[in-house]
Amino acid sequence: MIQLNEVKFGYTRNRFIYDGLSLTLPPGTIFGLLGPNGAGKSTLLRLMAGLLFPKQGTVRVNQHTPGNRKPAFLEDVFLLPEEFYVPPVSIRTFVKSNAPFYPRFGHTQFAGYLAEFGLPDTQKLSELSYGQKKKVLIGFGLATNTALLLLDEPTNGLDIPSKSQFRRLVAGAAHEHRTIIISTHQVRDLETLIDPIVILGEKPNGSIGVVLNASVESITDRLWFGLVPDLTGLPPILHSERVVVGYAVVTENRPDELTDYRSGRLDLERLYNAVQAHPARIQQLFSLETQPYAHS
Amino acid sequence: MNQTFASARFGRLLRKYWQEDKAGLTAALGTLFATQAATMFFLGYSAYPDSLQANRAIGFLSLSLIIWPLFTVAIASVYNKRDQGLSLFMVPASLFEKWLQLWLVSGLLFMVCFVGFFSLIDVFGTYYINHKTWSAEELSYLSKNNIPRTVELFDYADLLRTPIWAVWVLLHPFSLAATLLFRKYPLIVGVGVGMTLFGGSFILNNQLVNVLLDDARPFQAFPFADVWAYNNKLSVHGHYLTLPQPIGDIIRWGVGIAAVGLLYAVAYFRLKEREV
Repeated sequence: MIQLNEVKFGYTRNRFIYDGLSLTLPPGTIFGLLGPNGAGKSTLLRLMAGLLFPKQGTVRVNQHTPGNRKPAFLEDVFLLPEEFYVPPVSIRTFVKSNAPFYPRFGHTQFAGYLAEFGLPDTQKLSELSYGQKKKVLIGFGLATNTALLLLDEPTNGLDIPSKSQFRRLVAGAAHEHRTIIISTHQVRDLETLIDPIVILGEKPNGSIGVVLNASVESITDRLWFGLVPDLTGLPPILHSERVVVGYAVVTENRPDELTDYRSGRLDLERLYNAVQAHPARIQQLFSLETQPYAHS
Repeated sequence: MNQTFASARFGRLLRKYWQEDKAGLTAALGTLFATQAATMFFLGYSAYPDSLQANRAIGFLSLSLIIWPLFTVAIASVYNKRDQGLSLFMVPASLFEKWLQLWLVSGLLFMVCFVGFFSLIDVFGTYYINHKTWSAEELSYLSKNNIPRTVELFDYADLLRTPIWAVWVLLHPFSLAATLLFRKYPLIVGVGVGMTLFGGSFILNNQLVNVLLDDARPFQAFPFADVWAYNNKLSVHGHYLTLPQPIGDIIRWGVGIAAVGLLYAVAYFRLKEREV
């Protein structure tokens, strides 16, 4: 369980990215963390990993305060940052020197990931491309079997086949005691993987808050995604865009007003745009009483 | 497992460091050996034997005063780099273990290697001097000046007889603290701050002696050195002042140990509160 309570954080003295951010993330799910550039997605992951300290408020991860950086906490969390460092050693040496720190590290599991990615463990990390290095670290992170896995833009730099491999491997490594948080801009890459979805957005005071924290089921329950020939006679439209056959829209889900239309599946990109365009209405629709995960 | 220190976990941390950084570390120590050997050959073993002991002391101090801070900054500044620092902070080991590893590698390992290399070079250098075939001119110079043709190995106790050892003891804790205190340009800022503090201690020392002896003339003001006091305001003669014992040594050692402890504590707490 991850709990952020009234967290205030900023990189400069008087400018806060987060001012009173509260968020609860239960275990056993793959969270998608979305937000505009500069919304502090990486900052949020770093706060959860204990690399940054909140100026006010508390961050708790499975009974630990991440900022204390205790070994017991660190051996149960793995962070794959967007920009990372790899030592100039072979994959085998990297595993030999790092795996002993993680009590549940699966060597066979990691060997399977490497085989899947087509990387021999004799290969030197410094000689790999950015995408290949990322694959090694993704495989290593999954094989640590930590209770918390934080992935910051994991599909950046992966080629198209690797993205589907990534989805398959992450889905296979998820279990009820593990929380996986994936921060991404590449919403289409992860559409079928992430559930619930957390979307960050700007609050009226200029700080960043959680605008949406809801499961896919609850989203499709409250919002309607579809294609329409024109924009008349629809429930309140939260987002629309011109497409070849008419308009792709996101509206409030009022089945009696949408009987003439066929519902489409959840489109993360359009959901994201709808949330950014109408944060207040979205928060109202997914208010605390009705949604499964508390947020503010 | 203990959350502050566990020998098994610390062992893993050291193994990880060695396995991942052995190439860089070996290259750095190789460069250290080559620099020491070249400097000592040109500075010490190519001169006449009478100046060898002094030259070796100068070589030892000047090389360590320059190289040790450089080495410490190179080792510790990985925590100032965003990507590398992040991966190190995420390693499941305690902050104390990470600090101790820095201290071991940049402090103890350097010291052991530096002294070991220096002693090894000295063995060869001393052998070279003692078995050197002197030219007729050199032989005549040696006998004219009554200079013995053989030399002993370097006497490290000589270093303790100069007050510069105090600077030498502060070198590593100061470099470590400065590297973690000044995230940007730690070497430049550290040298600047170090020189300012050192210069300031000269001025303060001199002022203190001026006030205590009621004499405005400049005094030997090197920190931890004995003070030369003139017999009276008009005299050019004088004697070294000695502090009453054991209070003198208690103050001297107390100040030294407190300064070292404080600098290491600064390094630890800067590491503890470092955000990446």
